[in-house]
Amino acid sequence: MKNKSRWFALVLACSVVLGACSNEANNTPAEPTPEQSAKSNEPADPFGRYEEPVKISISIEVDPTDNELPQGDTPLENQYTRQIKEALNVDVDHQFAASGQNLRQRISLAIASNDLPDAMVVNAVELRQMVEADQIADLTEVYEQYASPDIKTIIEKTNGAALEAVTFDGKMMALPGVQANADGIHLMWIRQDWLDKLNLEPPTTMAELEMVARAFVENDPDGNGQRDTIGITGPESGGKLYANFLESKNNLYGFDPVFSAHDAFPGYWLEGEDGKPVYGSILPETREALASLRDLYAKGLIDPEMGVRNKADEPIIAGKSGIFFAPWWMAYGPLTNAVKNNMEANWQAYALPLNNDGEFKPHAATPSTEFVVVRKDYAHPEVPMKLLNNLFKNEQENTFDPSKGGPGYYPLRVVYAPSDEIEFSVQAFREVLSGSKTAEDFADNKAYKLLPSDIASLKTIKNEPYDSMDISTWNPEANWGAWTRTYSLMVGGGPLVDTEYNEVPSLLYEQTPLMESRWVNLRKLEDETFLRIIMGAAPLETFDSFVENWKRQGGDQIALEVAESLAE
Amino acid sequence: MVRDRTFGNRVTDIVLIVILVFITLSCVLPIWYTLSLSLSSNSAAAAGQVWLWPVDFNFNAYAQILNDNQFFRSFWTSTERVLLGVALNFTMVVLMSYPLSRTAREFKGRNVFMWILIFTMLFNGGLIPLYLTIKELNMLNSIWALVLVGGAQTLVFNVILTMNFFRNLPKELDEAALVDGAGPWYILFKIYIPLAVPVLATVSLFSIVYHWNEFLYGLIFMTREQFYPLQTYIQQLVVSVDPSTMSEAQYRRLSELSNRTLDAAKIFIAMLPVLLVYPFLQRFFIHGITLGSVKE
Repeated sequence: MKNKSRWFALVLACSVVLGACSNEANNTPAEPTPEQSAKSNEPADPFGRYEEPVKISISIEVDPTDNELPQGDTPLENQYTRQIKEALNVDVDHQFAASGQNLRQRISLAIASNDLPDAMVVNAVELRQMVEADQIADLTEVYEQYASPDIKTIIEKTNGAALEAVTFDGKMMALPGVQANADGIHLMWIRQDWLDKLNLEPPTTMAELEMVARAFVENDPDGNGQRDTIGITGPESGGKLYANFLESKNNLYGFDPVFSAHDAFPGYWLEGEDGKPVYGSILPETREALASLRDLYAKGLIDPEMGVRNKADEPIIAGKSGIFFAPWWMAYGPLTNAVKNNMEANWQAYALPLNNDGEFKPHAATPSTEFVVVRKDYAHPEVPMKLLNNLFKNEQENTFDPSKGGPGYYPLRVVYAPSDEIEFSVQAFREVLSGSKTAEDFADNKAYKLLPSDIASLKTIKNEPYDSMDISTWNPEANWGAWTRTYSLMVGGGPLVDTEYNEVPSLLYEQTPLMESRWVNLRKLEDETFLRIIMGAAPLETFDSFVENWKRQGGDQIALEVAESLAE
Repeated sequence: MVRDRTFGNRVTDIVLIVILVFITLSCVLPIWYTLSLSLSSNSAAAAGQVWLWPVDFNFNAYAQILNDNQFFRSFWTSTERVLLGVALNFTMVVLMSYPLSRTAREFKGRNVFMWILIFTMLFNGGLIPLYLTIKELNMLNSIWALVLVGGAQTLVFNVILTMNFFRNLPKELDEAALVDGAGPWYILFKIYIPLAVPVLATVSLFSIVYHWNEFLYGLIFMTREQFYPLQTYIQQLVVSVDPSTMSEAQYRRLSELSNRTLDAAKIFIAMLPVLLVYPFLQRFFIHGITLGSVKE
């Protein structure tokens, strides 16, 4: 009896398993083969309308809390999809929609289960996975034949960086987006009102930085009679000390300018003295920079809770911190709330501190972080390119009204920003404020999409004198939204215009094959060691053994691989 | 000596009270903190100035929620899921536990079924096969994907609990009923179910809490946000975003949406239903889980 039922269970279990296997094989959808002949007969027109309706399923990033769409519109049925239907005769369907981290999870699920939409927007890591899994189409011809001249210009203006990011074995496997340069340049943000109160100047060198930070900690800049202020804010728990070649921009509250003031570029692949690629984190300059950060921390000038704080922006917003390092857009970050809490919190940005040669030498970010990929067997691989052409053209012609749903609702949208958008806007604002130009002079400037509306609201939020950026000369309460953008641009973008600087690029911004298995551990070793050195939990000499370990645990091999991939 | 014992008892009491107060606080404080955060001004919340008492007391966050259609849509999806899920769970648990509580002599093949059940409890195919199955069954974006998949995963545990409870009921009740001419259905509905109220309340509570709080399946099986259950919606609000991969439009959006008070208000409202249901079912809960636990 017992034996019988045991057998029965086994048979049952087997049949279930077998059934599941055969089912899966049967149910793999029969993919339509690409119609090569149809494609070549059709003349390549980047904006051409299809005779017959063409269907495309995509993934899209949609925020569930977004209320921008007018009544009756949905993420699938709005001004963008209607325009696409009319201009291109393309029907868009969403295979899935999610936001933020969850979108990444859905995309991983789609890649792992090979249940892909016809096209989607992915990041660099996902792109590599899909290339290796042979899931996506070669877009070399599509790009050559269908990319509009404007988009080609923008992509080619990146000195090949955008194309490099999507080229695998000489084939173009995705369409790269191109974003403004400024996001990768980290500036020093400082409480100007504290400096003024203590009769100090913005620190230009590391020595001056130390002096100012000491004054911020010891001389009670917030005037509450207590020693409760932080000199320099450091990264929050899980934050990065510096941007690296894989995540090369928008590192909030790191120490990027401190490292570059020592000519150190940790996390970047640099050209060594022998001309071979070398990893910046193992160079002696990095050791020097760590020594100086360690010294600052030991003297209590860097937030003692750095690396353990849950939210590094809290002391900034609460008016307890005097200096932090971040890119230009900080009014979108903590500063709006900081000013709401204290209308006198006068945060200004500087391209400082300088290195020993008196230069500001930031590291440069990759222009491309978003890529449009097309499923291998999709019958119309040129549709995504045409969608992007159409978007760019209509954004220049102001066809769309962003108040009826932001451009994020455009299918497969990636940004094609002229890489000097920030700097150009700052110049334009200054010219309008000084009266040398008027709003009309910029009305035709289609490439800079937001400029006309920015200029229109400029004088409602900026009071005279127009050449001062002091917080007291702004009127944020008139229009917080416009203030956020304009203050970010003029205060955060100003130094980018006024400073002459040479950017230091990484030799590459992608993973090489060996990194996939090794990099996580190497990176962990690096992060932990550096954090311990700065916080005094390990002696500075640990750096030397770190270099040894890093090389032994695969770093040397990876450096060789990087050299090979650059030689290609 | 009596005094000594009293003294010892009092020390024990004090220690126990301190520990219990500590445990209670660690449960209550997060809820209280969320509440006071939700009643504060956003800039104070972002500055980390809010702790146990709201700063700049206001109801703005709650007023804003009233305008958020998706919140209510998700709230309804979750309610629907709980109602369907609990009803399904109750039916299945009762109908499975009763036959399985018989001996192998009374119910041939009982052990086989038990093995299959236990097997599913210990092993499963993983997320991707599950996703493919649901997709091939055309259940993506359907409430049934949430009800059935979630229900199936908690069912076995609930069945075992209930089955053990049934087994503990005196055999003589069955026998007496049989002698009086009652069939299995009659015995189940008129004798077993009324006697098993504590354990059935317990498994229903498990099921309510599970279906209300589960968010992963909402994310996996629902391809559009309008179908998200409430906890999936909430999860979207609180996942942290890495700025290094963000485009300009995204951090602009983040700054518009980063609203800790609003998030706290939504989280608080989402906690309420379970908080309200719990006290009423709790007395069964304590009874039920211990009653089913001892098998003779």
